[in-house]
Amino acid sequence: MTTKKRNFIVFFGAAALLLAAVFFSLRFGSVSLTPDEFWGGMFFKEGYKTYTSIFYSSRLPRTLGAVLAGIAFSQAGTLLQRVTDNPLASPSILGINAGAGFAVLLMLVCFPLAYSLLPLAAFVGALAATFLILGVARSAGMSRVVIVLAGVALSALFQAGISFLSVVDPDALASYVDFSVGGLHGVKTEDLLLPAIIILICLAAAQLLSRRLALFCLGDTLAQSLGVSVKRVRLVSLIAAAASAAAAVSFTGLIGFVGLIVPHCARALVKGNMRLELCLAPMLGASLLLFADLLARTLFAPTEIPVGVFTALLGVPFFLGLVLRRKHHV
Amino acid sequence: MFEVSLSASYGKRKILDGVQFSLTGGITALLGRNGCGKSTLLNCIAGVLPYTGSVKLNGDVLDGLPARERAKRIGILPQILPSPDLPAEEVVSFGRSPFSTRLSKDEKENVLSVMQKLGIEALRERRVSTLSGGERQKVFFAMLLVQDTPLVLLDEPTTYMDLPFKSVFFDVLKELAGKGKTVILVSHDLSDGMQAADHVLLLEDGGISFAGTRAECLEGEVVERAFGARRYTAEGVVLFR
Repeated sequence: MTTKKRNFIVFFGAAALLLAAVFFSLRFGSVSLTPDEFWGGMFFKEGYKTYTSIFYSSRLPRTLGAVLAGIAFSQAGTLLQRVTDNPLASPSILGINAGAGFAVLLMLVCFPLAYSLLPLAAFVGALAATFLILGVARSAGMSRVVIVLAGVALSALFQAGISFLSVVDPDALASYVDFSVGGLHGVKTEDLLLPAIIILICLAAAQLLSRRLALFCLGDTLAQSLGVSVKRVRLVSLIAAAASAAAAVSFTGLIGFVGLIVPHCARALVKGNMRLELCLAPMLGASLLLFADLLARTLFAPTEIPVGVFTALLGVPFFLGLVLRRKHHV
Repeated sequence: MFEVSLSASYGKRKILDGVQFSLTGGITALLGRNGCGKSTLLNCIAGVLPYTGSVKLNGDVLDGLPARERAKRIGILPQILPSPDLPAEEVVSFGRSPFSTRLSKDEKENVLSVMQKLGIEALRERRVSTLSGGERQKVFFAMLLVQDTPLVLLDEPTTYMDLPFKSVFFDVLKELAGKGKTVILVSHDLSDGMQAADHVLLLEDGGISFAGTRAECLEGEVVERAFGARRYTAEGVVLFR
Protein backbone atom coordinates (compact mmCIF):
# COMPACT_ATOMS: atom_id res chain seq x y z
CA MET A 1 0.00 0.00 0.00
CA THR A 2 1.39 3.45 -0.89
CA THR A 3 2.02 5.92 1.92
CA LYS A 4 -0.51 8.33 0.40
CA LYS A 5 -3.26 5.71 0.36
CA ARG A 6 -2.40 4.58 3.88
CA ASN A 7 -2.49 8.16 5.20
CA PHE A 8 -5.85 8.70 3.47
CA ILE A 9 -7.31 5.62 5.18
CA VAL A 10 -5.83 6.59 8.58
CA PHE A 11 -7.22 10.14 8.35
CA PHE A 12 -10.76 9.09 7.43
CA GLY A 13 -10.63 6.21 9.92
CA ALA A 14 -9.79 8.69 12.70
CA ALA A 15 -12.53 11.06 11.53
CA ALA A 16 -15.06 8.18 11.58
CA LEU A 17 -13.88 7.16 15.05
CA LEU A 18 -14.35 10.72 16.31
CA LEU A 19 -17.86 10.95 14.85
CA ALA A 20 -18.76 7.61 16.43
CA ALA A 21 -17.33 8.76 19.78
CA VAL A 22 -19.35 12.00 19.62
CA PHE A 23 -22.54 10.03 18.83
CA PHE A 24 -22.01 7.53 21.65
CA SER A 25 -21.15 10.31 24.09
CA LEU A 26 -24.42 12.09 23.26
CA ARG A 27 -26.50 8.95 23.06
CA PHE A 28 -25.49 7.20 26.28
CA GLY A 29 -25.07 8.38 29.86
CA SER A 30 -25.89 7.65 33.45
CA VAL A 31 -29.60 8.01 32.56
CA SER A 32 -30.54 5.56 29.80
CA LEU A 33 -32.77 7.00 27.09
CA THR A 34 -34.76 5.13 24.46
CA PRO A 35 -34.06 6.18 20.85
CA ASP A 36 -37.36 8.04 20.83
CA GLU A 37 -36.51 9.95 24.01
CA PHE A 38 -33.02 10.73 22.70
CA TRP A 39 -34.12 12.14 19.30
CA GLY A 40 -37.18 13.81 20.84
CA GLY A 41 -34.99 15.51 23.44
CA MET A 42 -32.47 16.63 20.87
CA PHE A 43 -35.10 18.20 18.55
CA PHE A 44 -37.16 19.88 21.33
CA LYS A 45 -40.18 17.63 20.72
CA GLU A 46 -43.20 18.57 22.77
CA GLY A 47 -43.51 16.49 25.94
CA TYR A 48 -39.80 15.64 25.95
CA LYS A 49 -38.67 18.60 28.04
CA THR A 50 -36.84 16.40 30.57
CA TYR A 51 -34.84 14.71 27.81
CA THR A 52 -34.11 18.05 26.13
CA SER A 53 -32.74 19.23 29.44
CA ILE A 54 -30.58 16.08 29.82
CA PHE A 55 -29.30 16.50 26.28
CA TYR A 56 -28.53 20.23 26.34
CA SER A 57 -27.56 20.70 29.99
CA SER A 58 -25.51 17.57 30.54
CA ARG A 59 -24.56 15.50 27.52
CA LEU A 60 -23.86 18.21 24.95
CA PRO A 61 -21.59 20.31 27.23
CA ARG A 62 -19.77 17.17 28.37
CA THR A 63 -19.28 16.02 24.81
CA LEU A 64 -18.08 19.43 23.63
CA GLY A 65 -15.82 19.67 26.67
CA ALA A 66 -14.29 16.25 26.00
CA VAL A 67 -13.72 17.11 22.33
CA LEU A 68 -12.08 20.43 23.15
CA ALA A 69 -9.94 19.03 25.99
CA GLY A 70 -8.89 16.03 23.87
CA ILE A 71 -7.86 18.36 21.05
CA ALA A 72 -6.04 20.69 23.44
CA PHE A 73 -4.04 18.09 25.40
CA SER A 74 -3.04 16.03 22.38
CA GLN A 75 -2.00 18.95 20.19
CA ALA A 76 -0.06 20.42 23.12
CA GLY A 77 1.72 17.08 23.59
CA THR A 78 2.47 16.81 19.87
CA LEU A 79 3.97 20.31 19.76
CA LEU A 80 5.97 19.78 22.94
CA GLN A 81 7.37 16.41 21.93
CA ARG A 82 8.39 17.86 18.58
CA VAL A 83 10.06 21.09 19.68
CA THR A 84 11.83 19.57 22.69
CA ASP A 85 12.66 16.38 20.78
CA ASN A 86 11.67 14.53 23.93
CA PRO A 87 9.26 11.57 23.70
CA LEU A 88 8.31 12.00 27.37
CA ALA A 89 7.24 15.63 26.94
CA SER A 90 3.64 16.43 27.80
CA PRO A 91 1.88 19.59 29.05
CA SER A 92 3.10 18.85 32.57
CA ILE A 93 6.74 19.60 31.60
CA LEU A 94 5.70 23.19 30.94
CA GLY A 95 4.41 23.40 34.48
CA ILE A 96 0.78 23.44 33.29
CA ASN A 97 -0.46 20.99 35.91
CA ALA A 98 1.66 22.24 38.79
CA GLY A 99 0.99 25.92 37.99
CA ALA A 100 -2.76 25.41 37.59
CA GLY A 101 -2.93 23.25 40.71
CA PHE A 102 -1.03 25.78 42.83
CA ALA A 103 -3.17 28.69 41.61
CA VAL A 104 -6.42 26.79 42.27
CA LEU A 105 -5.34 25.80 45.76
CA LEU A 106 -4.15 29.34 46.51
CA MET A 107 -7.54 30.67 45.38
CA LEU A 108 -9.32 28.12 47.60
CA VAL A 109 -7.19 29.12 50.58
CA CYS A 110 -7.60 32.89 50.06
CA PHE A 111 -11.22 32.93 48.78
CA PRO A 112 -12.85 29.66 49.89
CA LEU A 113 -16.22 30.51 48.36
CA ALA A 114 -15.10 31.86 44.99
CA TYR A 115 -15.75 28.63 43.09
CA SER A 116 -16.69 30.48 39.92
CA LEU A 117 -13.18 31.96 39.73
CA LEU A 118 -11.41 28.59 39.86
CA PRO A 119 -11.29 28.07 36.04
CA LEU A 120 -9.73 31.51 35.67
CA ALA A 121 -7.23 30.75 38.44
CA ALA A 122 -6.31 27.47 36.76
CA PHE A 123 -5.81 29.17 33.39
CA VAL A 124 -3.76 32.04 34.80
CA GLY A 125 -1.70 29.70 37.03
CA ALA A 126 -0.91 27.35 34.16
CA LEU A 127 0.13 30.18 31.83
CA ALA A 128 2.13 31.98 34.53
CA ALA A 129 4.09 28.81 35.29
CA THR A 130 4.77 28.32 31.58
CA PHE A 131 5.99 31.88 31.07
CA LEU A 132 8.24 31.54 34.10
CA ILE A 133 9.75 28.38 32.62
CA LEU A 134 10.07 29.96 29.17
CA GLY A 135 11.71 33.03 30.73
CA VAL A 136 14.40 30.82 32.27
CA ALA A 137 14.79 28.82 29.05
CA ARG A 138 14.97 31.93 26.91
CA SER A 139 17.85 33.35 28.89
CA ALA A 140 19.71 30.12 28.04
CA GLY A 141 19.01 30.35 24.30
CA MET A 142 15.78 28.26 24.24
CA SER A 143 17.76 25.03 24.32
CA ARG A 144 15.65 21.87 24.46
CA VAL A 145 17.44 20.53 27.52
CA VAL A 146 17.05 23.78 29.48
CA ILE A 147 13.31 23.89 28.72
CA VAL A 148 12.83 20.39 30.12
CA LEU A 149 15.08 20.94 33.16
CA ALA A 150 13.52 24.33 33.96
CA GLY A 151 10.08 22.70 33.64
CA VAL A 152 10.97 19.89 36.04
CA ALA A 153 12.58 22.27 38.57
CA LEU A 154 9.82 24.89 38.60
CA SER A 155 7.09 22.22 38.65
CA ALA A 156 8.76 20.81 41.76
CA LEU A 157 8.66 24.29 43.28
CA PHE A 158 4.91 24.60 42.59
CA GLN A 159 4.35 21.11 43.98
CA ALA A 160 6.16 22.21 47.14
CA GLY A 161 3.79 25.20 47.27
CA ILE A 162 0.80 22.85 46.91
CA SER A 163 2.09 20.70 49.77
CA PHE A 164 2.61 23.78 51.94
CA LEU A 165 -0.88 25.21 51.26
CA SER A 166 -2.51 21.84 51.87
CA VAL A 167 -0.96 21.75 55.36
CA VAL A 168 -1.90 25.39 56.05
CA ASP A 169 -5.56 24.89 55.06
CA PRO A 170 -6.75 21.24 55.05
CA ASP A 171 -10.32 22.36 54.22
CA ALA A 172 -9.18 23.87 50.94
CA LEU A 173 -7.39 20.62 50.15
CA ALA A 174 -10.70 18.73 50.12
CA SER A 175 -12.03 20.99 47.35
CA TYR A 176 -8.68 20.86 45.56
CA VAL A 177 -8.81 17.05 45.26
CA ASP A 178 -11.83 17.40 42.96
CA PHE A 179 -9.77 19.62 40.65
CA SER A 180 -6.64 17.48 40.82
CA VAL A 181 -8.52 14.29 39.87
CA GLY A 182 -10.00 16.03 36.84
CA GLY A 183 -13.17 15.26 34.92
CA LEU A 184 -15.94 16.69 32.82
CA HIS A 185 -18.81 16.67 35.30
CA GLY A 186 -20.47 20.02 35.78
CA VAL A 187 -19.10 21.50 32.54
CA LYS A 188 -21.44 24.15 31.10
CA THR A 189 -21.65 25.15 27.45
CA GLU A 190 -21.24 28.84 28.22
CA ASP A 191 -17.99 28.14 30.10
CA LEU A 192 -16.53 26.54 26.99
CA LEU A 193 -16.69 29.55 24.67
CA LEU A 194 -13.45 31.26 25.65
CA PRO A 195 -11.42 28.02 25.98
CA ALA A 196 -12.81 26.93 22.58
CA ILE A 197 -11.60 30.13 20.93
CA ILE A 198 -8.13 29.77 22.47
CA ILE A 199 -7.86 26.07 21.59
CA LEU A 200 -8.99 26.59 17.99
CA ILE A 201 -6.59 29.52 17.47
CA CYS A 202 -3.75 27.33 18.76
CA LEU A 203 -4.90 24.51 16.47
CA ALA A 204 -4.68 26.86 13.47
CA ALA A 205 -1.24 28.13 14.60
CA ALA A 206 0.03 24.55 14.88
CA GLN A 207 -1.17 23.81 11.36
CA LEU A 208 0.57 26.92 10.02
CA LEU A 209 3.82 25.81 11.70
CA SER A 210 3.57 22.18 10.60
CA ARG A 211 6.02 22.40 7.68
CA ARG A 212 8.64 24.02 9.89
CA LEU A 213 7.97 21.66 12.78
CA ALA A 214 8.64 18.70 10.48
CA LEU A 215 12.28 19.82 10.22
CA PHE A 216 12.83 19.77 13.99
CA CYS A 217 13.51 16.03 13.78
CA LEU A 218 16.81 16.95 12.06
CA GLY A 219 18.09 18.85 15.11
CA ASP A 220 18.55 22.57 15.57
CA THR A 221 21.58 23.00 13.27
CA LEU A 222 20.05 21.38 10.20
CA ALA A 223 16.58 22.83 10.82
CA GLN A 224 18.07 26.33 11.02
CA SER A 225 20.25 25.74 7.95
CA LEU A 226 17.13 24.67 6.05
CA GLY A 227 15.44 27.97 6.77
CA VAL A 228 13.61 27.42 10.06
CA SER A 229 13.97 30.18 12.61
CA VAL A 230 14.41 27.56 15.32
CA LYS A 231 14.16 29.75 18.43
CA ARG A 232 11.12 31.65 17.19
CA VAL A 233 9.21 28.56 16.03
CA ARG A 234 10.05 26.80 19.32
CA LEU A 235 8.81 29.76 21.37
CA VAL A 236 5.57 30.13 19.37
CA SER A 237 4.92 26.37 19.56
CA LEU A 238 5.49 26.31 23.32
CA ILE A 239 3.14 29.25 23.84
CA ALA A 240 0.49 27.60 21.63
CA ALA A 241 0.89 24.32 23.53
CA ALA A 242 0.71 26.06 26.89
CA ALA A 243 -2.28 28.24 26.00
CA SER A 244 -4.36 25.36 24.64
CA ALA A 245 -3.53 23.02 27.54
CA ALA A 246 -4.15 25.81 30.09
CA ALA A 247 -7.51 26.56 28.45
CA ALA A 248 -8.47 22.88 28.76
CA VAL A 249 -7.24 22.53 32.34
CA SER A 250 -9.43 25.50 33.29
CA PHE A 251 -12.62 23.45 32.76
CA THR A 252 -11.45 19.82 33.14
CA GLY A 253 -8.98 19.98 36.01
CA LEU A 254 -5.85 17.87 35.80
CA ILE A 255 -6.41 15.07 33.30
CA GLY A 256 -3.05 13.53 32.58
CA PHE A 257 -1.84 11.01 30.04
CA VAL A 258 -3.76 12.15 26.91
CA GLY A 259 -1.00 14.64 26.02
CA LEU A 260 1.67 11.99 26.49
CA ILE A 261 0.40 8.95 24.58
CA VAL A 262 -1.85 10.32 21.84
CA PRO A 263 1.02 12.11 20.00
CA HIS A 264 2.93 8.81 19.92
CA CYS A 265 -0.07 6.99 18.49
CA ALA A 266 -0.59 9.67 15.81
CA ARG A 267 3.08 9.64 14.87
CA ALA A 268 3.18 5.86 14.56
CA LEU A 269 0.09 5.86 12.34
CA VAL A 270 1.11 8.58 9.86
CA LYS A 271 4.84 7.90 9.72
CA GLY A 272 6.46 11.29 9.61
CA ASN A 273 3.82 13.44 7.88
CA MET A 274 3.81 16.39 10.28
CA ARG A 275 0.73 18.18 8.91
CA LEU A 276 -1.31 14.98 9.09
CA GLU A 277 0.12 14.20 12.54
CA LEU A 278 -1.11 17.57 13.78
CA CYS A 279 -4.62 16.77 12.40
CA LEU A 280 -4.68 13.20 13.58
CA ALA A 281 -3.49 13.73 17.17
CA PRO A 282 -6.39 16.09 18.06
CA MET A 283 -8.93 13.69 16.50
CA LEU A 284 -7.51 10.71 18.39
CA GLY A 285 -7.21 12.74 21.60
CA ALA A 286 -10.83 13.85 21.38
CA SER A 287 -12.00 10.27 20.64
CA LEU A 288 -9.99 8.86 23.56
CA LEU A 289 -11.36 11.40 26.01
CA LEU A 290 -14.94 10.93 24.74
CA PHE A 291 -14.84 7.15 25.17
CA ALA A 292 -13.03 7.45 28.54
CA ASP A 293 -15.61 9.94 29.79
CA LEU A 294 -18.46 7.75 28.54
CA LEU A 295 -17.10 4.79 30.51
CA ALA A 296 -16.39 6.99 33.55
CA ARG A 297 -20.02 8.11 33.82
CA THR A 298 -21.86 4.96 32.72
CA LEU A 299 -19.92 1.94 33.96
CA PHE A 300 -20.75 2.36 37.67
CA ALA A 301 -23.60 4.91 37.29
CA PRO A 302 -24.67 6.86 39.22
CA THR A 303 -21.15 6.79 40.74
CA GLU A 304 -18.64 8.50 38.48
CA ILE A 305 -15.10 7.11 38.18
CA PRO A 306 -12.25 9.60 37.47
CA VAL A 307 -11.85 9.89 33.70
CA GLY A 308 -8.05 9.54 34.00
CA VAL A 309 -8.55 5.88 34.99
CA PHE A 310 -10.18 5.16 31.63
CA THR A 311 -7.86 7.28 29.46
CA ALA A 312 -5.11 5.05 30.88
CA LEU A 313 -7.09 1.79 30.51
CA LEU A 314 -8.04 2.57 26.89
CA GLY A 315 -4.84 4.30 25.84
CA VAL A 316 -2.12 2.14 27.36
CA PRO A 317 -2.84 -1.14 25.51
CA PHE A 318 -3.06 0.71 22.18
CA PHE A 319 0.08 2.67 22.98
CA LEU A 320 2.08 -0.39 24.08
CA GLY A 321 0.89 -2.28 21.00
CA LEU A 322 2.28 0.44 18.76
CA VAL A 323 5.57 0.63 20.64
CA LEU A 324 6.09 -3.14 20.49
CA ARG A 325 5.12 -3.32 16.83
CA ARG A 326 7.57 -0.56 16.00
CA LYS A 327 10.37 -2.29 17.87
CA HIS A 328 9.60 -5.49 16.01
CA HIS A 329 9.90 -3.64 12.67
CA VAL A 330 13.31 -2.15 13.53
CA MET B 1 32.91 36.49 -4.02
CA PHE B 2 32.45 35.26 -0.46
CA GLU B 3 33.75 37.55 2.31
CA VAL B 4 33.91 36.86 6.02
CA SER B 5 34.90 39.13 8.90
CA LEU B 6 33.60 37.87 12.21
CA SER B 7 34.17 37.07 15.88
CA ALA B 8 32.30 34.61 18.08
CA SER B 9 32.32 33.57 21.73
CA TYR B 10 30.94 30.82 23.93
CA GLY B 11 29.99 32.79 27.02
CA LYS B 12 33.06 34.75 28.01
CA ARG B 13 35.45 32.51 26.04
CA LYS B 14 36.31 34.03 22.68
CA ILE B 15 36.59 31.27 20.07
CA LEU B 16 36.92 33.35 16.90
CA ASP B 17 38.61 36.72 17.18
CA GLY B 18 38.47 38.74 13.99
CA VAL B 19 38.48 35.91 11.43
CA GLN B 20 38.85 37.51 8.00
CA PHE B 21 39.09 35.94 4.57
CA SER B 22 37.57 36.13 1.12
CA LEU B 23 37.08 33.41 -1.47
CA THR B 24 36.21 33.52 -5.15
CA GLY B 25 34.76 30.04 -5.62
CA GLY B 26 36.47 26.64 -5.79
CA ILE B 27 37.12 24.18 -2.99
CA THR B 28 38.74 25.50 0.16
CA ALA B 29 40.11 23.29 2.92
CA LEU B 30 39.68 24.83 6.35
CA LEU B 31 42.37 23.33 8.54
CA GLY B 32 43.23 23.69 12.19
CA ARG B 33 43.90 21.70 15.30
CA ASN B 34 41.11 20.15 17.38
CA GLY B 35 39.06 22.75 19.22
CA CYS B 36 40.43 25.73 17.25
CA GLY B 37 36.91 26.76 16.16
CA LYS B 38 36.51 25.30 12.65
CA SER B 39 32.99 23.98 13.28
CA THR B 40 32.08 27.17 15.14
CA LEU B 41 33.18 29.20 12.10
CA LEU B 42 31.05 27.08 9.73
CA ASN B 43 28.04 27.32 12.05
CA CYS B 44 28.43 31.11 12.30
CA ILE B 45 28.59 31.40 8.52
CA ALA B 46 25.48 29.22 8.21
CA GLY B 47 23.67 31.47 10.72
CA VAL B 48 23.25 28.68 13.25
CA LEU B 49 25.45 30.32 15.91
CA PRO B 50 25.47 34.02 16.83
CA TYR B 51 28.47 36.17 15.88
CA THR B 52 29.57 39.78 15.52
CA GLY B 53 30.89 41.05 12.21
CA SER B 54 29.68 40.36 8.71
CA VAL B 55 29.28 37.63 6.13
CA LYS B 56 28.84 38.68 2.49
CA LEU B 57 28.08 36.57 -0.52
CA ASN B 58 28.29 38.11 -4.00
CA GLY B 59 27.94 41.57 -2.49
CA ASP B 60 24.85 40.72 -0.39
CA VAL B 61 25.21 41.13 3.37
CA LEU B 62 23.76 37.96 4.92
CA ASP B 63 23.75 39.10 8.58
CA GLY B 64 20.24 39.53 9.90
CA LEU B 65 18.64 37.89 6.86
CA PRO B 66 15.63 35.69 7.72
CA ALA B 67 16.67 32.05 8.18
CA ARG B 68 14.87 31.04 5.00
CA GLU B 69 16.68 33.60 2.83
CA ARG B 70 20.02 32.54 4.30
CA ALA B 71 19.16 28.90 3.64
CA LYS B 72 18.69 29.69 -0.05
CA ARG B 73 22.32 30.81 -0.17
CA ILE B 74 24.17 28.58 2.32
CA GLY B 75 23.92 24.84 2.88
CA ILE B 76 25.77 22.95 5.61
CA LEU B 77 26.55 19.31 6.31
CA PRO B 78 27.16 19.26 10.09
CA GLN B 79 29.67 17.02 11.78
CA ILE B 80 27.06 15.36 14.00
CA LEU B 81 24.15 13.99 12.01
CA PRO B 82 20.68 13.13 13.35
CA SER B 83 18.87 9.81 12.90
CA PRO B 84 15.28 10.76 12.08
CA ASP B 85 12.74 7.97 11.86
CA LEU B 86 11.86 8.98 8.31
CA PRO B 87 12.48 7.46 4.87
CA ALA B 88 15.79 8.56 3.31
CA GLU B 89 14.03 10.01 0.26
CA GLU B 90 11.91 12.29 2.43
CA VAL B 91 14.98 13.52 4.31
CA VAL B 92 16.79 14.23 1.02
CA SER B 93 13.75 16.16 -0.23
CA PHE B 94 13.91 18.39 2.91
CA GLY B 95 16.75 20.10 1.03
CA ARG B 96 14.14 21.93 -1.05
CA SER B 97 12.26 23.29 1.98
CA PRO B 98 13.80 26.81 1.81
CA PHE B 99 12.52 27.11 -1.75
CA SER B 100 9.14 25.42 -1.96
CA THR B 101 6.39 24.20 0.32
CA ARG B 102 5.43 21.36 -2.01
CA LEU B 103 7.90 19.64 -4.30
CA SER B 104 7.33 20.11 -8.03
CA LYS B 105 7.69 17.20 -10.44
CA ASP B 106 11.13 18.50 -11.49
CA GLU B 107 12.24 18.76 -7.87
CA LYS B 108 11.08 15.20 -7.17
CA GLU B 109 13.02 13.97 -10.20
CA ASN B 110 16.06 15.91 -9.02
CA VAL B 111 15.87 14.24 -5.58
CA LEU B 112 15.89 10.86 -7.28
CA SER B 113 18.69 11.72 -9.68
CA VAL B 114 20.91 13.03 -6.86
CA MET B 115 20.30 9.81 -4.91
CA GLN B 116 21.18 7.78 -8.01
CA LYS B 117 24.32 9.85 -8.56
CA LEU B 118 25.50 9.06 -5.02
CA GLY B 119 24.50 5.41 -5.37
CA ILE B 120 21.88 5.49 -2.61
CA GLU B 121 18.67 5.02 -4.59
CA ALA B 122 18.25 1.61 -2.92
CA LEU B 123 17.95 3.41 0.43
CA ARG B 124 14.93 5.50 -0.67
CA GLU B 125 12.38 3.71 1.49
CA ARG B 126 14.77 2.88 4.35
CA ARG B 127 14.35 4.85 7.56
CA VAL B 128 17.39 6.98 8.29
CA SER B 129 17.35 5.73 11.90
CA THR B 130 18.20 2.24 10.59
CA LEU B 131 21.13 3.31 8.37
CA SER B 132 24.85 3.01 9.11
CA GLY B 133 26.97 6.11 9.79
CA GLY B 134 28.35 6.12 6.25
CA GLU B 135 24.91 5.70 4.67
CA ARG B 136 23.54 8.53 6.80
CA GLN B 137 26.40 10.77 5.70
CA LYS B 138 25.50 10.03 2.07
CA VAL B 139 21.80 10.79 2.67
CA PHE B 140 22.55 14.16 4.26
CA PHE B 141 25.13 14.95 1.56
CA ALA B 142 22.37 14.23 -0.98
CA MET B 143 20.09 16.62 0.93
CA LEU B 144 22.77 19.30 0.69
CA LEU B 145 23.09 18.77 -3.07
CA VAL B 146 19.32 19.04 -3.45
CA GLN B 147 19.42 22.32 -1.50
CA ASP B 148 21.71 23.54 -4.30
CA THR B 149 23.13 26.68 -2.65
CA PRO B 150 25.97 28.85 -4.02
CA LEU B 151 27.93 28.32 -0.79
CA VAL B 152 28.43 24.77 0.50
CA LEU B 153 29.87 24.07 3.97
CA LEU B 154 31.05 20.58 4.86
CA ASP B 155 32.11 19.72 8.40
CA GLU B 156 34.12 16.50 8.50
CA PRO B 157 32.14 14.99 5.62
CA THR B 158 34.43 12.02 5.05
CA THR B 159 34.46 10.63 8.60
CA TYR B 160 32.41 7.50 7.84
CA MET B 161 32.93 7.29 4.07
CA ASP B 162 34.47 4.21 2.53
CA LEU B 163 37.17 4.57 -0.14
CA PRO B 164 34.97 3.97 -3.23
CA PHE B 165 32.50 6.63 -2.10
CA LYS B 166 35.26 9.11 -1.25
CA SER B 167 36.23 9.17 -4.90
CA VAL B 168 32.58 9.85 -5.93
CA PHE B 169 32.36 12.50 -3.21
CA PHE B 170 35.45 14.42 -4.37
CA ASP B 171 34.28 14.22 -8.00
CA VAL B 172 30.97 15.78 -6.97
CA LEU B 173 32.79 18.54 -5.06
CA LYS B 174 34.90 19.32 -8.15
CA GLU B 175 31.71 19.40 -10.21
CA LEU B 176 30.16 21.89 -7.77
CA ALA B 177 33.29 24.08 -7.91
CA GLY B 178 33.15 23.85 -11.71
CA LYS B 179 29.62 25.31 -11.60
CA GLY B 180 30.99 28.36 -9.76
CA LYS B 181 29.95 27.34 -6.26
CA THR B 182 32.14 28.00 -3.23
CA VAL B 183 32.86 24.88 -1.18
CA ILE B 184 34.47 25.00 2.27
CA LEU B 185 35.60 21.67 3.62
CA VAL B 186 36.69 20.94 7.17
CA SER B 187 38.51 17.66 7.56
CA HIS B 188 40.54 16.19 10.37
CA ASP B 189 42.15 14.01 7.72
CA LEU B 190 44.77 16.30 6.20
CA SER B 191 45.25 14.04 3.19
CA ASP B 192 41.52 14.23 2.38
CA GLY B 193 41.42 17.98 2.84
CA MET B 194 44.52 18.68 0.81
CA GLN B 195 43.67 16.35 -2.06
CA ALA B 196 40.52 18.15 -3.07
CA ALA B 197 41.36 21.72 -2.15
CA ASP B 198 42.19 24.58 -4.50
CA HIS B 199 42.74 26.88 -1.54
CA VAL B 200 43.71 26.39 2.10
CA LEU B 201 42.76 28.39 5.16
CA LEU B 202 44.51 27.67 8.44
CA LEU B 203 42.67 28.60 11.62
CA GLU B 204 44.96 29.21 14.60
CA ASP B 205 44.45 31.12 17.87
CA GLY B 206 41.03 32.37 16.82
CA GLY B 207 42.17 33.84 13.49
CA ILE B 208 43.30 32.88 9.99
CA SER B 209 47.07 32.35 10.14
CA PHE B 210 47.43 31.26 6.53
CA ALA B 211 45.34 31.77 3.39
CA GLY B 212 46.63 30.71 0.00
CA THR B 213 46.58 28.09 -2.69
CA ARG B 214 47.28 24.47 -1.97
CA ALA B 215 50.67 24.74 -3.70
CA GLU B 216 51.62 27.76 -1.56
CA CYS B 217 50.57 25.86 1.52
CA LEU B 218 52.67 22.85 0.64
CA GLU B 219 55.68 24.87 -0.51
CA GLY B 220 55.68 26.91 2.65
CA GLU B 221 55.31 23.79 4.77
CA VAL B 222 52.50 25.54 6.64
CA VAL B 223 50.77 22.33 7.57
CA GLU B 224 53.94 20.75 8.90
CA ARG B 225 54.50 23.82 11.07
CA ALA B 226 50.92 23.99 12.31
CA PHE B 227 50.35 20.30 12.95
CA GLY B 228 53.83 18.86 13.36
CA ALA B 229 52.84 16.44 10.57
CA ARG B 230 55.33 15.12 8.04
CA ARG B 231 54.46 15.39 4.37
CA TYR B 232 55.35 12.64 1.93
CA THR B 233 54.20 11.69 -1.52
CA ALA B 234 52.90 8.32 -2.63
CA GLU B 235 52.20 7.94 -6.34
CA GLY B 236 51.51 11.62 -6.83
CA VAL B 237 49.20 11.94 -3.82
CA VAL B 238 50.24 14.18 -0.97
CA LEU B 239 49.86 12.40 2.34
CA PHE B 240 50.55 13.32 5.93
CA ARG B 241 51.45 11.34 8.97
